[in-house]
Amino acid sequence: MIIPWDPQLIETVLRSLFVSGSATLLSLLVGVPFGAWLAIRDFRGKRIVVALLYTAMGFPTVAVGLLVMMLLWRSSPLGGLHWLYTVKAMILSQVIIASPVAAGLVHAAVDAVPKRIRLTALGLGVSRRMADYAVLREARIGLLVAAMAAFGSVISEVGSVMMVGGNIAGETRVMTTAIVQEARMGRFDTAVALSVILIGVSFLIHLGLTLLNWKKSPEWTS
Amino acid sequence: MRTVAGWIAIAALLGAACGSSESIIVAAGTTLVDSTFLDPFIEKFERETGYDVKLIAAGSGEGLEMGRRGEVDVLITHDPAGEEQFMAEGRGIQRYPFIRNDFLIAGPPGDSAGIRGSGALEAFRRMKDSPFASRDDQSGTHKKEQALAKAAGVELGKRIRVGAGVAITLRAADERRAYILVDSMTFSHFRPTLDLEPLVQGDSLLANPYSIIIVKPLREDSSGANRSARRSSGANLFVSMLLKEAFHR
Repeated sequence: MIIPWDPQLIETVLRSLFVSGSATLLSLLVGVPFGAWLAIRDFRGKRIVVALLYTAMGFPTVAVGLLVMMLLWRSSPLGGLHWLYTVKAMILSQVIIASPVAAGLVHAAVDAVPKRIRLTALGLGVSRRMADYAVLREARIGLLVAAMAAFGSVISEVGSVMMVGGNIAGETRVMTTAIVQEARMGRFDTAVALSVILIGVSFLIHLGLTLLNWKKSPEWTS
Repeated sequence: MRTVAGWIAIAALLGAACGSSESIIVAAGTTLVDSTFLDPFIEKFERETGYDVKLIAAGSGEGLEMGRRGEVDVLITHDPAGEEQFMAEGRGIQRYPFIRNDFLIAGPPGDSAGIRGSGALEAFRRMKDSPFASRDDQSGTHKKEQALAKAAGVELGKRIRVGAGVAITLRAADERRAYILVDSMTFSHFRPTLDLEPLVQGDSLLANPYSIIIVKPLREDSSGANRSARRSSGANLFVSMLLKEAFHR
C-alpha cells in the first residue's frame, strides 16, 4: 500500500482535526447547556422537543451542507460574509451537524441521573446552580461520550464539507473529501491509505479521551 | 379480478427483479450523466433489447481506470490522450468517435485579464496571474486545462484547485471571480445561476471530442465465460445502436 507521506497530506490531516475539533468544541458550548436544561426542566411539549432533537441527531449531512451553501452563496443574505468555500463555512455546517448529537446524548445522560440527587442537593440548602452542577457531575461519563460522538459525527462526514468547502487544495481539502476525490480519480490504493490514516487518527483521539477519563475517575468519585 | 391482476403484477415484478435480464455497465463522463443526455437512448435500448443498462458517472480518468480493472463494459470518455494509451495497452476492443461538446473559457464580466475574444493559448497567457478555478480531478476537463497551459507555455499562478465536480467548481469560480475552462453544455445549463460570461470560444484547440470504447472483458473462469460472452455482445449492440442514434440527429 502506498502511503503518500507528503507535506500536503499532513496539512490535510491537520485541517481535518482543526475543522472538526473546532466544530466539536462549539457544538458542546451549545449542546451541553441545552441538553442538560432539557433533561432537568419540565415544560409543556417537552416530548416533542426531545423527539425533534433525536431526529436532528441523524440529520443527513448533505442536507445540512445544502442549507449552509444556500445561506452563504453570493446572492443570499449572508453572501456578504464571503464564507462559502472557506474553512469557516465548513466549521459552521459541522457545528449544525454536531450540536444535536451533543445535546441529545447530554440529555440522555443527564436524564438517567436519579432525580433524588438534585432534590437531595436542594434539600441540603445549596443553590439551584450547585444542584445542577451535582447532576452534571453524576453524568460526566455521558458528557464525555457526547463529546466523542459529536467529534465522531463530524470527523467522518463528507457530505457537507464537500458542498460548502469545495475540497480546494491547500484551502478546504480535508481527509474525507480527499478520499472521495482519490476514489473518483481511480486511485483506489491512495484512497484506501487515506481511509486507514483517518481511522487511525480518529482512534488515537478517542483513545486519548478515554484514558483521560480513566485517569480522572478516582479523583472525581472521591 | 382485481386481486388476480394484482398478483400477476407482483409476480411480474418479482420475475423482473430476479429474472434473467443481462446487464451492461456503462461508465460515462459526469457531464453526460448529469445532463441526462443519454437517458432517452438508454430507456429505448432497454425496452427494445431487454438488456439492463447500469450507467455510472465517472470522470474520464476514473472511467479508464475502471476499464483497466474490467469493471465496465462500455466507456464514454473525453480524454483523447488517455484513450489512445488505453487502446495501446490492449484494454479496448474498439474505439469510436462520438459527440462533440466543445470547451469555452468563462470568467467574470469585468474580465480583468482581458481575454475576451482572444485565442485559447493567448487567453491562457493573459490569465497567468489571474485566479483560475481548476477541476483538479483527472477528469477530461482537467486534462484539457493542463494540455492548454502546457501548449501556451505558462503555469497558471493562481490556480484554485477545487476537486469537487463541475457544479461546485463553477460556483467557486463565481464566488472568487475566477476564470474557468468548462464544456459548453454544462455552462449553458448553469449559466442562469452564475455571474460568469463566456469569453473565449470557437477556437479549434477547444474542441472536446468524446469517444466510445468497448472494453475487452478480463479473462474469467469457465463459469463466467458464458456470461461474459453475452455481456460483450450486449456491449456491441449498445454501441452500434448509440452511434446510429447519435449520427441520425
